[in-house]
Amino acid sequence: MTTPSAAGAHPAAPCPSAQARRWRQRHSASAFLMLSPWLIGLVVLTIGPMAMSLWLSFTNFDLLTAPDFVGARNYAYLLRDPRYAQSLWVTFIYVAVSVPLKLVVALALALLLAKASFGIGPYRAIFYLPSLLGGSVATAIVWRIVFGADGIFNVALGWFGIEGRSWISTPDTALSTLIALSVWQFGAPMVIFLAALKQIPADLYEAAAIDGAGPARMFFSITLPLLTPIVFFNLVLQVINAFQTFTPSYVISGGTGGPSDTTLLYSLYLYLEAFTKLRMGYASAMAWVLLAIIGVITAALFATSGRWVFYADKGDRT
Amino acid sequence: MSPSTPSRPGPSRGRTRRAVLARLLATTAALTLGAQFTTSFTAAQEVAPADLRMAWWGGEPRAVATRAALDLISAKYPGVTFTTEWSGFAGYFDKFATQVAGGNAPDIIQMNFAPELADYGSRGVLLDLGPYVASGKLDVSGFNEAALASGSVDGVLYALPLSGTTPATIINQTKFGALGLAEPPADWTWEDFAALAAEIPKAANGAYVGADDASARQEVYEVWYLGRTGTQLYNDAGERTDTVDDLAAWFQMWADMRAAGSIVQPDVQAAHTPGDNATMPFVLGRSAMTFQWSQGQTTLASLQPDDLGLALQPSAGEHPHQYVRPGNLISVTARSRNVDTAVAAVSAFVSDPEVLKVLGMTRGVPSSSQARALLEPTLTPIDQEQVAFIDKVSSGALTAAPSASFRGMLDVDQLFTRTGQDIAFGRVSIAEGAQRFLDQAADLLAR
Repeated sequence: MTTPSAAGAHPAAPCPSAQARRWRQRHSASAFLMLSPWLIGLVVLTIGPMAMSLWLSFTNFDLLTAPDFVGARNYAYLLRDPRYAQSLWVTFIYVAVSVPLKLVVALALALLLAKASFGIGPYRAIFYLPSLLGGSVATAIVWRIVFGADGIFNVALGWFGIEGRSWISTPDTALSTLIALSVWQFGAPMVIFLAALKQIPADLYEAAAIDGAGPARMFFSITLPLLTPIVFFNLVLQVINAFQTFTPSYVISGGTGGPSDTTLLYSLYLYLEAFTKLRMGYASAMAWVLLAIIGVITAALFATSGRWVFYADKGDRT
Repeated sequence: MSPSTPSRPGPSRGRTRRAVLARLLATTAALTLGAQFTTSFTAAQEVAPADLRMAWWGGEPRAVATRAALDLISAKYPGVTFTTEWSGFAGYFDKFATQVAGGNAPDIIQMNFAPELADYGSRGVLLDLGPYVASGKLDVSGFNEAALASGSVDGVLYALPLSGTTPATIINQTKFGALGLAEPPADWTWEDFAALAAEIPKAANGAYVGADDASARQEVYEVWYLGRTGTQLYNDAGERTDTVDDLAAWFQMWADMRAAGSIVQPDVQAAHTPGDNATMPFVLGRSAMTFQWSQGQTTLASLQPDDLGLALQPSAGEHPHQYVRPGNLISVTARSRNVDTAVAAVSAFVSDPEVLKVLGMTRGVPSSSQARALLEPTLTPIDQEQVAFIDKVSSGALTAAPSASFRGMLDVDQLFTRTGQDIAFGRVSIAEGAQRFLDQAADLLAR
């Protein structure tokens, strides 16, 4: 961006404002040129398809024949589609259980790994490893095997005399295996927590220790309050991610969302409608409603954040 | 290809291919030297070179044979090459639909009879093969009227059937032999089935059970329903014809078998996704019987060590319940950029003797009488059984193969699975589940 002082640098020019405009035009042209790889990507790969999908959500597009405008019929059908209601229910449970659990595990491990000691590096890497593999099809397949009828989870239960079952294909437990898989991928929030823990000034702990505070008191009075911005950040990111989870439910249920639709996550139902039943219009409507749901929940998180997120620098200013 | 070694390239196939190549080279040499005699390979001159894409689903033996057959066609038509897309059935048509929408569908596609053939045919995705038959470019001399009709939608020929198939019960002969059980007779009923299924876990000391749980599979229910009522599941208006009583009787029959320990437990059954044969309880050795298309005998045999036999599906009433339908078909996509070359390749795929021999019975019992005549002298025992089974079914009392294609049918199919699982896991009572199914199915069909 040019600034007014740029024009002032040439006081002898006959018409400074015109020259400034030319200068500005030339510079914004080159700015746009430099931005173009990203801009083209944004328009062609993001804004274009989004606009297209918004239009399609008002049509009956079936991939093979030209779309017809059907008004808000797709959105209206969402309200009375029992399978859609089921997918919403499954997704809300998945998000509400997996995200807090994952954050607790990530924070607990970050606390353990934050203690600087010799040889901690490899341990941090090992704990981060599942997250690198996490979203992959391979892990989901492994999960399927581990929690299947002949899986090692049942073998382990057998040592304690507990009779196992096929956890992935029993309606009461199928979703729990997906949640466990999600929690197991705690690496990304853990790394962020680790970095944040290093930022907490050591003198706070020293002062607290002198005042006689124990480890629990220090955690709840110093560590946790100072980490709340990071908790908030991780919470928002993980909620958004969790709503979009697709791969594990697709792979573990063999693309069906079964048994009895108990693993039918939102994205999986959207996929089934779009690509197995070719209801692109309906699936597009589902996608826009998901965007709205995520938007509303994220906004709600931001709205409540003032009550529990503590910014140390803000406190300094008042 | 020798059908005796379907899973790997056997020596005989190598010989056959070498022989063909040698003959080809000789012919080409003769032509270049200016020899004027006509051979069957002069047709090669008329086919424009192109790289064709062909997609199919199936097991590995089929993939090996198909690639070998396409190699032969490439050798026959210089400049014609093939890019192949091979996968399992699960996800096959998801991918195809996406490719069609993206304008990059394969030129040649293995098609499924119902509901896909009518669906894609009526939407203009598949090429009308009629004109090519009329002009002699597509050799259909091996197909009779009925076979051509099975590849047609509203009188337009969109596909050629590659094989015929029929609903069957697959029997694990090794397990039956070990338990000293006789294989079921041809005219068995569902009562016989339940009795046999109950006997197996007792005789096997619980090492495995009688059968897979097919209660949540609508295509098995459909065969049961045909025998019980003599009516197709959908009428011409696209409405269900079954009642709460029918559904309740079906689910109750399976609930009784489940309670008796005759069939696999619901969680074991639910771990299997239809279309993914490797996860089938029957394949994993957990049961001794399952319901499959007849060529499943061959497909499943390659996935586990035991010998497999075939029986009809049990009957549920006086009405004929068995039918014969195309197992899979072959089509050309209408928007292929090389339509003429693709048709020539399909023509060779269904009529060239060398190609037919290489393909063998990897797609089931051929619908083409020419292919059957060529293959019959060298059939393996399991292939002989396949042919004999289809012949036996064809000569018995048959009902029309369900071929309806209505929007919402796939939803109803998935609803049936969900209902069956809900009942099997005790999440809903049979009466309530049956009623809910019919209500929701009516909604989905009217959508």
